[in-house]
Amino acid sequence: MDDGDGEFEVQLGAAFGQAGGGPGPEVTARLVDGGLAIGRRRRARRRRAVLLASALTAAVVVGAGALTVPHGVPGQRSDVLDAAHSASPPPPQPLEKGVTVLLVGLDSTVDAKGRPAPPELVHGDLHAAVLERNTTDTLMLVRIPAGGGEVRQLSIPRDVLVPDGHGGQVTINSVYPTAETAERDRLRQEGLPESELLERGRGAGRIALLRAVEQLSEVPVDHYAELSMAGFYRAAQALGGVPVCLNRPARDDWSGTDLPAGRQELDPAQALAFVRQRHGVGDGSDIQRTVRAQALLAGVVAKLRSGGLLSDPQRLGRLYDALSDQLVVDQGWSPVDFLRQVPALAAGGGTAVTLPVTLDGIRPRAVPGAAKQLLTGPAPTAAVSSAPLGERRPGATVTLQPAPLVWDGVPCVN
Amino acid sequence: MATARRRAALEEEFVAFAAARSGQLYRSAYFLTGGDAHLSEDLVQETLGQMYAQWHRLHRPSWAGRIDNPAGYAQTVLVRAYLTHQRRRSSSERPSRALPEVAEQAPDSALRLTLVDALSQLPPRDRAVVVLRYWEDRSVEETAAMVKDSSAAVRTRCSRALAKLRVLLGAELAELVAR
Repeated sequence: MDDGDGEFEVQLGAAFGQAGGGPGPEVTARLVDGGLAIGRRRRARRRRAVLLASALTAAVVVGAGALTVPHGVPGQRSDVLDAAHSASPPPPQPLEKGVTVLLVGLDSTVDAKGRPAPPELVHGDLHAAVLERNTTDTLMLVRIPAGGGEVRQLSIPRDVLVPDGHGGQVTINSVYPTAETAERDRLRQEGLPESELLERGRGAGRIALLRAVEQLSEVPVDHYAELSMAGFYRAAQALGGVPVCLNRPARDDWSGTDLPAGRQELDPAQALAFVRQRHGVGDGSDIQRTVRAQALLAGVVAKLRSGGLLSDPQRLGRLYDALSDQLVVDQGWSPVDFLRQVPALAAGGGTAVTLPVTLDGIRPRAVPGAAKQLLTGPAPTAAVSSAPLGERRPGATVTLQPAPLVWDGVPCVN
Repeated sequence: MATARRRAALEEEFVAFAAARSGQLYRSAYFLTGGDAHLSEDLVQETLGQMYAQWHRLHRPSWAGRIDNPAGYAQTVLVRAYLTHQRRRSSSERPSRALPEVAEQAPDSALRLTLVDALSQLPPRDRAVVVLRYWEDRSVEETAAMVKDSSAAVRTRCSRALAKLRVLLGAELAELVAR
């Protein structure tokens, strides 16, 4: 094959990727109902054979169940979406087209299988104390439109208040750990072994968080991905440096940040410090810090795009494999879809925005309806009105929202 | 009763799977059938029906015929259902240049129309190989297993189909993809 053939193959692959949007919700409903009806008819015919087979299988499972090991689907699987969507209240109406992904950065030093990160990583590069409790300090919704087009990314500040289900309000980053702890305590009382508590507890945390995000944003989530701090570190390692650009030098002992101004490639430890630095970024609140996470994601996308990684499904697959112990994704997200959606993320342009909040005293509340508008409405214009600090009157509500960040190479941030 | 509860749980699991995967299956079927939306729906429903009947195999131990990757398994079922359908109807049907009516609500993009139009001019088996290789990102060996053919035959079909697609699409593809 000459070079022209290779190029044509790449183009063909890209054409399939861009032409591959899913059908509308009515078609999907028809397909599921029709499939179920055909399947039930089939099963009725086969029931006797199936019963025999299941009796055999049951005997075999009892005998050998302990020997079977989990198979090698990349990433840890979670049934979070099915579980969160099967219960009341019903999830928001599905959107017409495209895919919405909830990305969760878990501030935990334990990996997805519950093993602690190596101590040298925790006390050295990760610059973290060993936390017993997880908090979800990075929350992002990414919306990838069908067939390419502009990607929207919405950061949800971790301190935004959401209903706790008992009439009160809690910050969104505590929803996951609260539900996790409650479920673990409940299961422990039922006498379940400790080994099962961790995963089941986390499952409950994920469901609670997903519901809280859907309720807050009014946007249904199609896929869920969760990365721990240790996982983040490994991902940055696998990428081999993430490009970012700083307007000013950054130095902060709390997070261990010490970076010069200008464009640079961050090693894994620096990348982690970059997103975690709060002191000395903007007004020191978490709201400004969301821009760092957005800049890092833009850097990752720029890296993926420039490194030729995206046109190479095998290399992408290897990156995915490197994350297999660290990343938790929902069951319905097949590796094939994942590999197709990540290029869509990088191929189209994108805009990153932060959910605007009004300050009620010191407690940030989400502006109602803003999330859906920002994710699915017309492109956000430049800076949204934000009262300068000097004009804050005591008792008055102010709206805070950092300016949108356009994904164009490596954007420079504070 | 425990079995009733288990059956209900399996069914719930299946519905979640069907809802999550039907989009991808439908699009594969759409490419396979050269843009026939009605036939695509039939094929996907047939595939999901077979998956439903096989669903209990997900929970078997691996050496007892467990379906490890239901999404991949469903794609294989779909491709074989399509090829069977083609074989049965090949005597009565001729390939058509005109695109069949589109049952979807959203209008297709120019890129999708162009691609599907070109695909519809390939022989069914060649088309299946192209869809598996370039839409499903399957390797030659995986593709061969799915269409029950040898790797060499898949390679031959693939290069023949690519040559034809290149003539049909040519520079148009590069232009549409770049947009």
